[in-house]
Amino acid sequence: MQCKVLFDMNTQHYLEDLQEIKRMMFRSSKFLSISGLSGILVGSYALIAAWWAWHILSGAHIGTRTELMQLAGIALATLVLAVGTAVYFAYRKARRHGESFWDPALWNMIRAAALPLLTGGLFGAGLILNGYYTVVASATLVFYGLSMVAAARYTYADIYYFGILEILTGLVALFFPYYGLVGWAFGFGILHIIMGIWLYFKYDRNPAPKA
Amino acid sequence: MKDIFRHINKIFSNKIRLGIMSMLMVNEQMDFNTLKRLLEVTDGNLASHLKALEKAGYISVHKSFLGRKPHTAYQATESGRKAFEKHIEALENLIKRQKE
Repeated sequence: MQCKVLFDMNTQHYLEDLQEIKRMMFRSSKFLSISGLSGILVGSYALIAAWWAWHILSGAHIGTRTELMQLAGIALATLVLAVGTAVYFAYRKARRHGESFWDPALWNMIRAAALPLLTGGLFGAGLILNGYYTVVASATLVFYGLSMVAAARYTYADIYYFGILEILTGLVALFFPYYGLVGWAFGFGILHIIMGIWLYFKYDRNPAPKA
Repeated sequence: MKDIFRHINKIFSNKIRLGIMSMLMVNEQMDFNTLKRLLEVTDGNLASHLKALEKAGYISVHKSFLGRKPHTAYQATESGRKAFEKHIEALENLIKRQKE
């Protein structure tokens, strides 16, 4: 009888140990400072950029050289603004939770996302230089989705499903070559906003659970 | 009865040592300050537990300089990984047995 009680107490102790192992593995390997609000803002930038690009093209599908330069300028500005916003909000969230921003998990995440992201960027640039405008939106969406799937290992698992949706959007866009801008606006605009709202309500609004 | 306790490793019965090994299982390497921050312990406390794990041959230490600041990184050794995996397995077995 006494032995049984002792055994129960130990079991409780072992259970706690296992939970602690899981908790520390999770905490040390995931970058949890991604902010939902930044997703909403990034999506809004993309929608504004898409709207602007649509005005420049004014219905024409292949622009002149100046139009192309303008579009490239908008794309670049959107990218810089989006990355800046994401970094700023992540930094702010990390600070608020008393966590360090430069986590080993952040480096792992950047490393995982970098290869598909850089490949996609160069691939997209190659398509534009060769005049394959109709598949640019598709290609960038697919590569972006792949990078999110790769990065998801080091952050919230929700990002994995976000990546899958981006890939699907890219693949669907492939079959509507003259609506690339619509696919782009949906993938980089609407999906970012939906993901941002989702993350905000799931993780940000309430104080972060102690993992 | 006695057999199922065989792989329960005394070294990992301490919460801080358990935490250090958990983190080194999923991260290639970690530095002193990150470990300290995540475990919420003092320098001296952490150092003594790291020393114990190092003595057991479960972790290896890599000292270097980042600019002028000393930088110490820790890594789980092969034998450390094996011992920790066995420890987790033993914990799970004990709990499973209790549930039966």
